[in-house]
Amino acid sequence: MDFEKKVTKLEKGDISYYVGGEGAPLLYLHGAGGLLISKAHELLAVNHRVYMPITPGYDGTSFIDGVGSMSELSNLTADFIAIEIGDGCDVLGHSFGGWHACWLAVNHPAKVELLVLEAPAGFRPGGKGGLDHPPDELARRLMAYPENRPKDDRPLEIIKSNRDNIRLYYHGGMPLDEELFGRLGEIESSTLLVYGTLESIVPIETCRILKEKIPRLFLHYVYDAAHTIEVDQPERLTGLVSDFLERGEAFLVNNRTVTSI
Amino acid sequence: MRFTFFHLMPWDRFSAPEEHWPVKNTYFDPVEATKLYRIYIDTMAYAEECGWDGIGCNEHHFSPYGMMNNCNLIGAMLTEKTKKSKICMFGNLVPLLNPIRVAEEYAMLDVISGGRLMAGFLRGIPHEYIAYNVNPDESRSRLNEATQLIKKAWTEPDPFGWEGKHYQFRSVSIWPRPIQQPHPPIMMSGGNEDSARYAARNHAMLGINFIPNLAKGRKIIEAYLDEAKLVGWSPGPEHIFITLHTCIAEADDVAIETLKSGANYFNSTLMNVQRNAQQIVLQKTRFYQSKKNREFFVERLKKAKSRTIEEAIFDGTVLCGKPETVVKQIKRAQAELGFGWINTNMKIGNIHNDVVTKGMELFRDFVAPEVRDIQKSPDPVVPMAVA
Repeated sequence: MDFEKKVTKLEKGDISYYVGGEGAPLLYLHGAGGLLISKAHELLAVNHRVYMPITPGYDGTSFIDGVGSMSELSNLTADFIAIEIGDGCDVLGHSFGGWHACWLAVNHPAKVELLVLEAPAGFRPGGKGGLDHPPDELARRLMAYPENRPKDDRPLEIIKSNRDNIRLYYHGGMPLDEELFGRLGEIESSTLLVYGTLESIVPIETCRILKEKIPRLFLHYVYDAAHTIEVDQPERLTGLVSDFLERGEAFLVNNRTVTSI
Repeated sequence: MRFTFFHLMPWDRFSAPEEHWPVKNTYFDPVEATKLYRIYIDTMAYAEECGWDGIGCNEHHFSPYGMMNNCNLIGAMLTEKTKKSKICMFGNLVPLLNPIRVAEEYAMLDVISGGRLMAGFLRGIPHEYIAYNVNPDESRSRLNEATQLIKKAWTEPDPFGWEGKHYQFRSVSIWPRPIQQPHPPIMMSGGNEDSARYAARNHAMLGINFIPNLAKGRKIIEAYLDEAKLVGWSPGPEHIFITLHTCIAEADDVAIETLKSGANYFNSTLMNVQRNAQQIVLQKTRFYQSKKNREFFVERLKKAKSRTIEEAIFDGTVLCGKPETVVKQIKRAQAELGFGWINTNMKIGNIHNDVVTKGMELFRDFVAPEVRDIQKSPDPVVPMAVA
């Protein structure tokens, strides 16, 4: 699967994005490491047209004036949907992208049909979890199976810049986004929250918060996956997500032939 | 020192050993079995009156070796017939079962019994995988995943889904959930050092079965304690069980002859058929991932058949004799291994049920009072494993 890199002109500024696949549109919002296309994206693109905008400032792109907070970022993303996709679409956000997706869902509910949150950041009460670990330790917490990680062709200075300069730009590193926390009940979309059984960056309390606040949320554990579920268990994640996106809340009902337990 | 009374519920009236597994069930007489179940259940309940701290049973399939294909049914009866004994399910063969069902049934037992469940999470012996048509190569992997899923089902406050390698569930929220918090103590088998380490990593109690000698038991326990330390907890004697064939009579020679006869039936008749099936599984699959463990298991089976009772007594791997003798044997084994529990198996093969009952009363009157205070320790509280 080849994803095509494009640029779209929005009122506030240009957005780079990758797009590929055929089917219903799916907006993918990347994590704090920037966009690294992996097997999971390819699997999602089998049945979806996957749009993957690059958050301004990441991966060598420029920041946009007037877009300096999570809320403003979500407004920009809503503009992106309006220009490139249409009225609305399903949205999948990983980590920082999950935080981003929640803002999009509260600020622009009509733009978000089904919502998938993959280990979302932004809801870490008491500062539990987080990315502040020595490099080796952080790598272990990010991925249980780093051998699954796709080859990263991005220049080292961009990877470093993603990590060191941009990570805190939109939210200042706040562990718990109090403003968004107070508005989570406004999320109208059916929401699938996926969480790895080996997760140690996003604390389990995040799941408790989201489960309590978001009215129609389904918590799902992905076995044997750390923070970057899409790299550790791409088939498990995308099989689950695709089923949710295809059947909505009916995904709870088994529609496969099962021959044994 | 505490004791559990373990029962296999064997079919104890086979006239001749069968060669082929599974044994055809025309040999099974349901009317006789009705009486046998009643005797066995009453015997198990009587163990509480005789001073045992827990009553245990386990799961086997397609064999006269044990008539409990779902030991939780027996456990449920024991909750009604006893008041304070631990209900020791040693245990469910987790890789063969629906883990949510295991979580539910164990939670029911825990709640009905008022928090007396000890929950065995066992992989089973090789031939059980033929019975339930599960690939033995996957046994360890299924046990890993099912264990995490069951713990999650017991402890998760919100409905959840599970997307795993072997198990997928879209919405789980068990009713009831266990009364013991964070969950009932879990017991895992420690047949060799690797499995003992696995139990430690899962913060489980260790159940040691059929060791060839006490030195091997020591190695298994050391592996358990070492691994527990690595993952941040410190098991005490209350976390370690050893299962021992036990025969107590008025005189040593009577006990030895009784055990010889019962063990001969056990090894030559009950074990014989499944030994053949086990060989197929062991030779053709990766049930044991390492050659060392496979060879150890095969060797253990061979030794169990050929070893005399006198040799087993010398090795410290059975309790057999008059009460004074058994007291000495218990003290010796405990001093060498440092365990807190002995899981006694007294219905060995076709030992007559009245003889078992008599042995239980000798245990109550003369053995338990002498050994009860050897090792005092609290109830086993097993900490939650942290991912």
